[in-house]
Amino acid sequence: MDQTKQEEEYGYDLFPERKPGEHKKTSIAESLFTFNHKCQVMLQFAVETSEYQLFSLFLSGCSKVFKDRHFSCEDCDGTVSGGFDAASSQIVLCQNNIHQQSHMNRVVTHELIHAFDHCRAHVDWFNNFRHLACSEIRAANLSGDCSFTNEVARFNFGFKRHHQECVRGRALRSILAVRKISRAEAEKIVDEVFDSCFNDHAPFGRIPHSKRDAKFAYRDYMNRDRYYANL
Amino acid sequence: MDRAVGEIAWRPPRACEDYWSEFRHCKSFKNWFHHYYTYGTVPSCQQWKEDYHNCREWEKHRGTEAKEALRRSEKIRVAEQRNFIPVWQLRQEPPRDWHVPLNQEKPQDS
Repeated sequence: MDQTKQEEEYGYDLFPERKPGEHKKTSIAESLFTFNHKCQVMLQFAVETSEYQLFSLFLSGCSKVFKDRHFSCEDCDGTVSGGFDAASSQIVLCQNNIHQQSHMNRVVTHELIHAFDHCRAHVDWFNNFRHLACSEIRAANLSGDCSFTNEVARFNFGFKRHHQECVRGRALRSILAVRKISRAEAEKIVDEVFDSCFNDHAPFGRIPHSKRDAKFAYRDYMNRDRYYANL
Repeated sequence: MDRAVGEIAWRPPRACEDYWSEFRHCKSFKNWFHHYYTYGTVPSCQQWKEDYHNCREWEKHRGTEAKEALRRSEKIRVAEQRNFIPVWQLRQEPPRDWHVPLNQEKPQDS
């Protein structure tokens, strides 16, 4: 397939430092004159949080997630915060668009959910829009993207059942950002898979809204042998 | 008590304190808020309380009623977690290239 066409079709044009199949090392000049160093520092903090430690346990068959292998800080186009590149098994963090630690933590969680889906299922990222939509729904649902506080910060003042509206909207945005399809088509696909994917809470067993939810999800995970043995 | 060789005695799927802490968490304002924000309904917490009482009951008297009630309740919870048709097929093994070093990856065919 023509390289440029592939770049545009799969959203690689949003990540100009990333050509499919190539790997570029960051030069010292790039480290000095870009937000690369700040991104690396925030990433380090993010992986030291208990939520990350917990999550990396869950990563199904992929057992280990290495900061240097599976994360990459890069400049990106537009307002995109990050992405998951299935071709290289890397989580991309947009160093020019992430400026706060809380945002970094959220992006890392969001992309880890994509990584988790990649590790536990045959997700056809490039050709199956339903798969892509499903993972985006799950990532928006489970990462804290759609928390009440985050929505209020975006001036979206909804309350009753608003979480679901937010998840739908953000999943739609994510799909439209990386694939060339019409809004109507994307909405149809999101609608088709929404019920299934919104209710898939793996690996947490619940939607983690708070630290206590995360703590209890971890407890359930550590207790899983006893749990299933005594059902 | 007669037991087959190698059989492990049954015990509740969760420690009794876990049922109680889940109940308390369920009843908290934060959880009410998040539940209403997500589902537009108030959370139902009664089952956690019942499970806690059955758990304690079983600990005291080892009765089959308490045991069966607990098992039933947990089976319903598991079923609720699985109550959807997956969009994709689950893997038997993790993707082969997860740990492959980056420099070794072949360029895409053009």
